[in-house]
Amino acid sequence: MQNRFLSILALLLGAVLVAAGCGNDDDSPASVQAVDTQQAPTATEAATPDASGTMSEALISLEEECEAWGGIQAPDGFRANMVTDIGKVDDGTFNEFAYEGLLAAAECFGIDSTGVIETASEADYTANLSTSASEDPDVLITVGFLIGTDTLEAALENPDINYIGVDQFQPEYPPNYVGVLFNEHEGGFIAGALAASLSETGVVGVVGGVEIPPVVKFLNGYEAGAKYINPDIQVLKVYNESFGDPAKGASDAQQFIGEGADVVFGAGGPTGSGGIKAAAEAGAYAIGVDQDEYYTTFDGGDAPGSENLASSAIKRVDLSVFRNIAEAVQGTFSGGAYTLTVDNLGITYAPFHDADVSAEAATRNNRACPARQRRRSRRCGSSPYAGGMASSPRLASSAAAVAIPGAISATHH
Amino acid sequence: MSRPGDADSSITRASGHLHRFLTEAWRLQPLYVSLYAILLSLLIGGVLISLIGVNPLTAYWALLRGMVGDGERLAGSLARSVPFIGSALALALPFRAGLFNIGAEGQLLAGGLTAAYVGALSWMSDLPGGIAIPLIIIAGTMGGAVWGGIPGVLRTKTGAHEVISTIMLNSVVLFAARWMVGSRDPVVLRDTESTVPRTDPISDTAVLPELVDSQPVLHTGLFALLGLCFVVAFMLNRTNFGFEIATVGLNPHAAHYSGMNVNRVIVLAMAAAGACAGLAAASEISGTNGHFQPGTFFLMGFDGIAIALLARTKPVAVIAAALLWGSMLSGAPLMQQEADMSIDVVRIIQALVLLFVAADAVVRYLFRVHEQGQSPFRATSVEGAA
Repeated sequence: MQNRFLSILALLLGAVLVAAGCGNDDDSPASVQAVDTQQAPTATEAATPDASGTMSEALISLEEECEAWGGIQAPDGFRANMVTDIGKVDDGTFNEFAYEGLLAAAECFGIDSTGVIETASEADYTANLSTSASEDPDVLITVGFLIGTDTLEAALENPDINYIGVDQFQPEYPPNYVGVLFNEHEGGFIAGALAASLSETGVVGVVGGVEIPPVVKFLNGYEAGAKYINPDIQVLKVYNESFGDPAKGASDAQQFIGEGADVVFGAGGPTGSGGIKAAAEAGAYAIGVDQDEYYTTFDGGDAPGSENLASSAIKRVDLSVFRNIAEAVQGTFSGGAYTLTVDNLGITYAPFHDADVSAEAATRNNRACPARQRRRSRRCGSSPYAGGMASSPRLASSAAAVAIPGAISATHH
Repeated sequence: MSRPGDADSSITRASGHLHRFLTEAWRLQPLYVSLYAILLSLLIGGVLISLIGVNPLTAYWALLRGMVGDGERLAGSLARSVPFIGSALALALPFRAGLFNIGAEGQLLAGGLTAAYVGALSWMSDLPGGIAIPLIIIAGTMGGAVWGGIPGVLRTKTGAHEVISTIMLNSVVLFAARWMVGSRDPVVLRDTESTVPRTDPISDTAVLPELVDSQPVLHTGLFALLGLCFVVAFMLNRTNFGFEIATVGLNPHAAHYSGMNVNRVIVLAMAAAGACAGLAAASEISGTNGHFQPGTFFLMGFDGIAIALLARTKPVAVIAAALLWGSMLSGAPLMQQEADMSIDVVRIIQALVLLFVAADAVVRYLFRVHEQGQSPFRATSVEGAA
């Protein structure tokens, strides 16, 4: 019966431990934030062409995308709502990118009513979907594969609402439901091509997350990309038991470096991020995944080793949300899978930022794929190794086309 | 603690009236502190909201409508609150025996996993609902009881403190459940046809009847958990076992010298606590989800601790506290959607409520509430006071 306060402290500690263990929630009661005041640097900002000059083609900004839609405007009373996956609209995950897409679309198309619900627990998915739908929005964005089943049910129930489900695969989609999917192997291919171009030792590594399809696709694409540039390259791969173990990722990266790797790609959530952080700190090149990790893992350049973050293989969730809202505004929304690919600029790579990767010298990459050819046919060089998951040579080579815009060469430091 | 002497007389008189009203009309005297703590937290929350630049009245109005705006929302709030009753009882019950069960989170998972496993067994669909439903509920209750009993046994056999062992067991069952539900190779409990990691759907015969088609669905598990509160209250206050629990809680040595089997009481109290959480989980699996997905129980056990503290560990008061807690969580999304106010505000208000319940001297001083016996949450121990 002694020291109840100690016990309460202990229980709070326990709660924090579990929350941290889950790795997907950050609702510590101590943080207040207005939904739309604080914004981390956005992918949109990141898209500004930097010194390399070749960025704009691969990484278009949402403003540019807006122009492409020719100034269409939403009718009065058009409403776009969003329900996040567990997390916040500024948590640096798909939630944030989808939200950016929503904000940009609202501005571009003059949508004045938007509403967002941040999900706090998996127990709230259905309730949040119905709360959101009760406002009769024209578009309802839901984020994350866990909410997919509930989104499908909601879409069948509310045929007048267009649902955009980020990261949601369904065997069949009703006409008012788009599932945003990703060609991860293409992102992996870009990272692999970049890695091989940067590597001097001829050994590159990749720290994977749990061995599930998207991660496998990333890793196979990576190997394919690396071998496309340098057929003799040695690719070190590892899968992990968890996405939430940066320490394990770091030790994987150190292991790779010990075996001679000088570029490490992290494709496994926080585990992978731990890997690239360790690699960058140890002086090897690092390549991030999903988002521009310069702004997340490397604190916008404040973290040690950020000068070694070469790039990140990005999924443009913001773009997919933006485009599908545009379809709804235009009245051409149609259900089905919307796959982000290199071709539609949905899979691309981040600016080099502080990394010493110069765009000047034409390299073996260019020899492999001359610029005018890649513009037209997206097919160049010899048919690249397509990997286990990258079954279509066309996809793989189009990935190479973006990986190669005359740009990637390592200047030594 | 309270110092009424220097009080502004009108406040004293007003709160005197209020006290009398609450005492006579509602018999809520023991809950003064909780009620005032809620009031105070809402006030502070309002200040926070206006600091952010949102009109607190707009936010609270949306919150209120989200909680009880119409019949369906009310039912949804009720449904969201039901499992919290079980997880709060899981703390309140062994608390009487001086045990601090932080394991409701894990006991919910253990119960839910067992219930989902039994519910999905192939022969369940051959059974009539009258048998299948009790079966799945009992299975979940047993699962929770076993997981709750383990720290009790560890406490009696090895002296391991239940706070530590329940926290550790939470992690054990969380990661075990995630693996069992998520693994495709080997497939343990995963529904391989589902894109999300979860167990096979339970048999239709094992689904608890629905009361209101709200979001989430309000089902008859409500009655099970309401009933459980009264059962626990009766057991604690009117039975020999309840007396033993109270005695062990007050002074285990005295209980031992008077011939009680202290170890048995500790193990049984912990197992009963686990059973409460297990029942809540089984009712969720059977009535709401239809399958087991670990994330749906996220923080439910820890919130149960908070709710039990808010109810000052009185089993029947748990009902009110759980309703408040669950409906706030259920109403918050509307507040966010309409007033653009983060759900975190609700969490802050809830945290403040707890803070004021724990540091009740603040509330007693502000609202001139006289102390009614020893607060169970004082840092100064009972032994120290004696």
